[in-house]
Amino acid sequence: MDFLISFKKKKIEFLKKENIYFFLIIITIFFFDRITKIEIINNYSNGASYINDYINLDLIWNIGIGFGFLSTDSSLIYNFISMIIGIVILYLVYIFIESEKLDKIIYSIIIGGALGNFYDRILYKAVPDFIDIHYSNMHWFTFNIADVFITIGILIFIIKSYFIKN
Amino acid sequence: MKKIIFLLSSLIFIISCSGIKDAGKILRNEKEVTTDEFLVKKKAPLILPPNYEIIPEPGSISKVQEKEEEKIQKILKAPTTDGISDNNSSSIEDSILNRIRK
Repeated sequence: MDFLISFKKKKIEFLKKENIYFFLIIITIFFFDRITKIEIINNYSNGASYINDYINLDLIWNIGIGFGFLSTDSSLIYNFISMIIGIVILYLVYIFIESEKLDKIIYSIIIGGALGNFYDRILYKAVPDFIDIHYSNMHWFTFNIADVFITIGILIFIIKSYFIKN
Repeated sequence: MKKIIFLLSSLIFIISCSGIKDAGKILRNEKEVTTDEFLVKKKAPLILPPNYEIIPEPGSISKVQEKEEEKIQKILKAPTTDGISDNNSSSIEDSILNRIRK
């Protein structure tokens, strides 16, 4: 019963007017990620496309988690992983509510990216990755725009934690 | 610090980068898809250009021009530059000069 009351309180706090700008950040990142993914799926699904000597566009469907881990054909494991990701995103939202203004901006960036990838997991049962950075034959992990925002958010948070006190 | 640890540990779940491209393909035993695997490109048949017989051979143009110049000179019977020298003066000139001297 106490849990339900505290959940309702958090929900009311989350839907406050002051959070509207942070929602806009989340929605902007989410839709920007979606547009790029749709564009790539529609136009670049037939093999890799050369952009320059360091970047290719190569559509790869990731059915696992980060860095290609836990890629499996088992739908049970896939759904279990998706559930864990959902819980992680919910916890991120919880931290977002509890945070100060600057932290809220950073969490908005991370949540926007995380929701972008989570949406694809639900819709396609896999996440499309397409940015292939390489130097000669050495390839970095193929990633997407949502990953870029998540990484930027976490990097900003770490830098902020070390260099900005209070 | 707890938040940083949480964010870094959650990174692996919320991020979605695929494994290293080539390593993943080798591990999954994927074959490289190439559309022209059995394609044999035939050479186009050799076609001679139009009026091939009329076209002069390389290096023959300058010789032909020289010959033509010689022909023209023969027709005109133009004296060469050596022929205009003082030593080979004509008989008319000599007769004129002799009369003047007298």
